[in-house]
Amino acid sequence: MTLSKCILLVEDDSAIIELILRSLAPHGMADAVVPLRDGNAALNYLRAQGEFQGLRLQPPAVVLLDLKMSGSSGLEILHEIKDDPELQMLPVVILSASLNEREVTACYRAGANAYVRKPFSFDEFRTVIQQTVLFWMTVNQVAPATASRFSGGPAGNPAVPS
Amino acid sequence: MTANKKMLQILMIEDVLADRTLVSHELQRGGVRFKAACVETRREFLHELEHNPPDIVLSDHGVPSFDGFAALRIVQSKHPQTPFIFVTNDKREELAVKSLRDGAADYVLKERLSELVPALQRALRLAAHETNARNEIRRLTAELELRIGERKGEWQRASHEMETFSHSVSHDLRAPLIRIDGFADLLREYMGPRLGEKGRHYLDIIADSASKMGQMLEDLLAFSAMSHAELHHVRINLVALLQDVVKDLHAEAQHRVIDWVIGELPEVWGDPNLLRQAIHNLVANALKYTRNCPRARIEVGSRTADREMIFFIRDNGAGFDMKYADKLFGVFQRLHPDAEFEGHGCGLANVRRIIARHGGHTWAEGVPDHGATFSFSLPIGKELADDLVQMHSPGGG
Repeated sequence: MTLSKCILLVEDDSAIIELILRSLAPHGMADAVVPLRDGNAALNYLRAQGEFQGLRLQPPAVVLLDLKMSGSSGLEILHEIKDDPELQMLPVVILSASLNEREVTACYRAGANAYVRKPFSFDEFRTVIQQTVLFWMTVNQVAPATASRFSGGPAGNPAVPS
Repeated sequence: MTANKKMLQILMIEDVLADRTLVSHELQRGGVRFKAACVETRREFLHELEHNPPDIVLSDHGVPSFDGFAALRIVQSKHPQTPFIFVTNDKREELAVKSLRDGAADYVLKERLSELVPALQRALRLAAHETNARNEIRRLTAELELRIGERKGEWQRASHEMETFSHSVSHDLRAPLIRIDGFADLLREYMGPRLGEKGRHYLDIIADSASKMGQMLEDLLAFSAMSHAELHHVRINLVALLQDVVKDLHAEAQHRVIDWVIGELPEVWGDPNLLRQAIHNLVANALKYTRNCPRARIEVGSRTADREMIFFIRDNGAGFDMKYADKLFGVFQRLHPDAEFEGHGCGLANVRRIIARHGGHTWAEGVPDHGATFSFSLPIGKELADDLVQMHSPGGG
């Protein structure tokens, strides 16, 4: 599977990042993942600013956003994305360990496109991540407003500062 | 005497001047310090009542334009604490009886006016007692309301803490489990062949334990959610509910010989989802612990006791030792090893909490290898149930 779009993964737990990459590896999608450890970096990536200014960035097809992170919470980042006219068409999938009704509601109210609970069983976890990503990668086209932000250059390794 | 200490305000309904004088004279003779207002019409009476509220009303029966009983009713509705004494010439016994029955404090004949002062003092004393009692009730009510308010505050705090706790159970404790299970799996995937049989067995134990802990966290979360869910009471047909539950559990009953004995079940007031869960857990329990019986017998019935309905489910399964009867209903308490009967030990804890939230009790009787009977009670009547539920704090049950 060749992808001209990337999967923006916003997750502060490096162990979970690794599990997600392993989950996507069998589908050849691990390379498409741009993992970012905090929400503000994700916003900078999406807005091509800060540390990402002037870099050739791949447009994300989907943002996988962890809800509970140190620093800005996933919900805050979600609000930032959905309140930004140029980013709001981007599908955002919330990843959370909990299924707290209030949190789920708050996320959907803020415009989340999906809320996925991370199952503790790795088999299920793997399936859920794969299905989620496959769905959003294949069903969704990148919104034009978002695409114009990116150079649309040839697919390559996304520029990610370590 | 109260009457002597301060100027007594008297409202008199009397149209005969001579009688007014007689009554006044009698009161003076009795040492009563008073100020009297005399009225002859309803309009005057209402005006006085409103502008100079009397300590006591003395009334004749026979004022032409204004009936004494009408005056009594007015006083009772507007100033129920003010005593009302008939002072009259009318000797008819039925009139006296009716006066007292209608709430007059006393009935004094004009020809025996010497009885007036004692009657008046008695009436005032009683009224004072009544006022004190009323004040006491008011004070106690206020105190009670204050305590209810405090309890409500405590309840809200506890409820909030519980929510924080649930959140940490569902998130903070689950997150490491994702890692344990995930990396155990990756380890198997990448190192499996090199680990050997023993190594893989250890990994299985790690994965199993993580999975069991995950399930326990789910149960704990469900238990706490159920403890704090708002109750929506409706009338419930227990027969229909039981049939539904048995249908849900039919997979458990398949390929087994089970004699179901379903007795009469009444309608009850309760939260349908929660009661359904309680009964589901009890029936599932009965099915599980009769699994080894060649012929299982599960009896469900009810009886009514003093203002409550008692539901029971009896089986001829594995039973239990009565000395553990109380442990049965604890969270994660199990009497049987996993290998024999699987489970996490939350089912009966849920039943107890659900029933407690409905204002009822749960108990169990059993004999090892001779079956068990699980019972719960529910108060009869919605009002009663509501009261009990409100009283129930989250820590109770």
